Amino acid sequence: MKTTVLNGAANVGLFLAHALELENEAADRYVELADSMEAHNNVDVAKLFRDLAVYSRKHAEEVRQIAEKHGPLPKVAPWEFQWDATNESPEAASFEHAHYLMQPHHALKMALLSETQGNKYYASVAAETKDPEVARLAREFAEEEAGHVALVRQWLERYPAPKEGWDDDPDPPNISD
Amino acid sequence: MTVDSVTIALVGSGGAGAMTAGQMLLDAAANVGWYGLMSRSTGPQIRGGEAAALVRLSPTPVHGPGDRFDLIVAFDWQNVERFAAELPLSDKSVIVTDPSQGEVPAVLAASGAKQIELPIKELAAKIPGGRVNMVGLGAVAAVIGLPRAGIDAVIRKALGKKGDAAVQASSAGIDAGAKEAAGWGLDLELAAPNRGDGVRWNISGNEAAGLGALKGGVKFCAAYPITPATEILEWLAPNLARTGGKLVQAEDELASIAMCLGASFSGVPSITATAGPGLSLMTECIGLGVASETPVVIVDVQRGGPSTGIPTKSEQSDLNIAVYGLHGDAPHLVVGPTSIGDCLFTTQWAVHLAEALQTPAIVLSDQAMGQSRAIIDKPADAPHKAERLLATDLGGGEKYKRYANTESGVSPAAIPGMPGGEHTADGLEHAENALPSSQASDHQKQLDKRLRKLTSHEFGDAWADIEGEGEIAVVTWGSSTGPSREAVRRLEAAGRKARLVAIRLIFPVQPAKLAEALKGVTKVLVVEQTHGAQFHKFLRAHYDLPGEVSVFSRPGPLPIRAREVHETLVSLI
Amino acid sequence: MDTHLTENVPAPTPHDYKSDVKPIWCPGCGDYSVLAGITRAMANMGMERHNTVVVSGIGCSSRIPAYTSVYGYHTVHGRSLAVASGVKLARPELNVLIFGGDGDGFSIGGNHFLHACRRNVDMTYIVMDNQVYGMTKGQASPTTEADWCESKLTPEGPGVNPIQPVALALACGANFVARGFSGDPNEVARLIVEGVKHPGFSVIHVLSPCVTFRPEQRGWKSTVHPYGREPTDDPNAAMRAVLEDDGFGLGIFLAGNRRPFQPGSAVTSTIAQIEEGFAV
Repeated sequence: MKTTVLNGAANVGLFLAHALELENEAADRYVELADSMEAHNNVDVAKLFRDLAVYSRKHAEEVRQIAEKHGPLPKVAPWEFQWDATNESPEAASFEHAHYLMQPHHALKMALLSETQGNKYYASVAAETKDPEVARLAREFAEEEAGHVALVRQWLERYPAPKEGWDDDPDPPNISD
Repeated sequence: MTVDSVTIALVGSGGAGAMTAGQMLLDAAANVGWYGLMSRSTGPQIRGGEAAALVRLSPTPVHGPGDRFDLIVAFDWQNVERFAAELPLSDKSVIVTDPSQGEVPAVLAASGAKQIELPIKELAAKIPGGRVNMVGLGAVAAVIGLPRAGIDAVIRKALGKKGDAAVQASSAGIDAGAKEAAGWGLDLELAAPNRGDGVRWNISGNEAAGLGALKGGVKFCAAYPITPATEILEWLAPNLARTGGKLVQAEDELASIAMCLGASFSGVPSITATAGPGLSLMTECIGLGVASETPVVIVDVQRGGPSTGIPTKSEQSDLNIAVYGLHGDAPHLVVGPTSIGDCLFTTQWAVHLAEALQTPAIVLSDQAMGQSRAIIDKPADAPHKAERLLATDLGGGEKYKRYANTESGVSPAAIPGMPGGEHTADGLEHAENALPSSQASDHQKQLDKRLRKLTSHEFGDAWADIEGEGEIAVVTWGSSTGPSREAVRRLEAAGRKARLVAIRLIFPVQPAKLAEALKGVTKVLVVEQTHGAQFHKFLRAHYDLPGEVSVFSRPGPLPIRAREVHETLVSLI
Repeated sequence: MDTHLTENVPAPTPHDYKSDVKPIWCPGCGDYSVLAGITRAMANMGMERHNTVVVSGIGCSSRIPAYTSVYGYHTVHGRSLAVASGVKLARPELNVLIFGGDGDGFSIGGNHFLHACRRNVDMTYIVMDNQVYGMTKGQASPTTEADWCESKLTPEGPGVNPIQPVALALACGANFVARGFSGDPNEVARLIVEGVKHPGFSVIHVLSPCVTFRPEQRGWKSTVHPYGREPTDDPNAAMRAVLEDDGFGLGIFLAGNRRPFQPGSAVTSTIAQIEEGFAV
């Protein structure tokens, strides 16, 4: 499989810059999704995204501490990050999968996709890099993501797919401005 | 025997140069120390149309058009019937006509005015490079006793660049006209000028409004041309540039007002000028200025309406749209200058008020003021400047509230460039923190505050011009003030008493101040130039008028003349 | 990529450009991603918040200013470009961006779009195109297909051909014209940065699906494609190429070299000197 993780695999500084972006974007996105659900009165899913954000933020903090020990990181523009087959940072849940009536099941499916992509990214870097330190860190992070994936899978068992018609809304859309 | 005031029309079409001659007559009169007023009446053609320069001169300040024309000099009679109603004559009037141009039209001849034949075209043709308008000007100068030196200075100024031949041709034309007129024996010699020490200005209402904008501190103008407001914009273009400001031509009035709001949002005092059709297009954005509390000044030079109406003629019929034309409860400033010179003061004041109260101000000028030129005493300097209350202590603990519900109703403004003041100004109803809100309490609070900042402001004495005393009062506004003022003075000259109240601050209304101004009055005459008596109805809605109230109201294009107001007053006493 | 190492002063993050107001857009709306692209672009450029003004009209995407932490002006329907022009002409030192949708920009604001392109004031217009009026419940916009029959207002379809915003921008003289897709906010960020840096009026047409009224637009992610050519500075070449494009090509079409419009001159007179001109 062709991968394009060259930048992140090049050296420790670039790898950590990618990792930090990946984790921060993941946490920020969960917050944004939680906000969006709150704005649409979907409190259950809002809480779920809020919880996911807390976990992500923790991991982002761990990466930040590692990066701090490493020293200043290179500045990378958003479009210069090289992810593996995703446009955005792979662990950022996609806005487009959100729905105002979505249920915890859907949110966890989104999270599963994100965490899986995160795991896959780190694994790709570990496989491709020629830098032993990058390989060590990437393997470590990949394992951590694998743990998240397993955790989300466990949660999903508690929330089976809702029946057809979960997105029915008897009311028409509202008129705003 | 001399006269105290002389009213002259120079009439002609198709390149006769009536307007130029009228302009030179006014300039020459100013040079020798007379006061004057020149208005214009033109056909709809871009070039070659019938035109009349209407000039009134006097040793004392001229407030409005004369009662009737003392002298008409016609270079030809093409289509004159189109504006014959604007040329009131009597049997004491004099018509100077060129026999080669046919009979004096019956509509004018019926007045019984004295007719004098002057072969204007023939006389001009004898002079190399001679022009009929100079022959006519020479005749007028001789009739009213305008010293030759005054005209020579004007010719040199106007034609100096074209060379000696042009100057000589004009001089010869003047001489020819003057020579013929010397033998007419008319009693139209104007009383000697009283030059005094004061500086006099030669200015139009539109120029004065532009100057008022500059003096108020305007630095940005977005412009879309429209008759009769264009001269304000054309005057501002070079003069804003000279004083570090900018004028931009917009694609339409929707854009010109929007650009002004943008400039003002970023802290730069802004103005635009338009007429009724343009004001109609601007109303949505003026409402945005009200809601977002963004100051802006709009000068509406009123013309005959509705729709395209009569673009080149005056009326006061935009009062309603100026006051009530915005949707929602949208209180804002509306002011009206009371004379050509006052266009300066009132526009400058409007800039100051708009900035101080963070709201749009509409200045209601009109074609009669805007496009007329007057010789006036240099107006006194007014202190009014654009001064916006700006936020301080930004970036501290408390988050900035753009629409803070202050006691005065004026909220300290943060403008781009001020760290810590970042906010989104909004035309959506909002809470104090500027975020959109449809809550009843926020709507009430913001409506209250936007009204309170207007009603609690102390506007001082400038709210109206108040003159005279007595039990009868004329209540008027805008360019109806001039003839009303003259009518009141005529009563006074005849030993009777009358008051004049010309309201400059149309909105917010000042009921206590008007009650004070009208204390003891038993009869009120409302004077205005509309068909629907808009001002009278406006007064009735917002004020208690004492005693018996009469209305003199008629639409354009005929100007209101002092005689008409005077006769109405006399009939009421 | 900037290989310089960061200073100790923390660089701004996209989060610094977000307000604490929660967007009211439908979950799934493309505008969330465009907002992400905008804040990333601002962070990347390190825009000073107090020296940045964002202007909008009315519509879903026009809600953006309140979601940012810079100065904003949420104006009336269709007039954002004119208001923004006033800001930039009066205060050239400010960064000025405009956000809006296809109805706001090309229908009620169409005349201002035309003239903003030809006036070429140095500002950047991000127009989020979902081919529908969302705030008024799904009517056809100027970019809606002639046979789209889902609106109660035009049950037989609008029956008129949609305009091509990119071609229109080029025809009217915009100096920088690009197209992005909300599904790739990092690329949107890049286009915004390029547009802001480029002198003159920059138009960034962003395809941004409406999941409520045009749910089929979710399929855009497999329709869009790289435009596939290098940006040109020749408007004629750009126009020829755009006319061959299917409306889903992404990238920079034109980075032209027209001089921005910015009047202004040194002070040469006092008002007193000007007044002397009126003296008789």
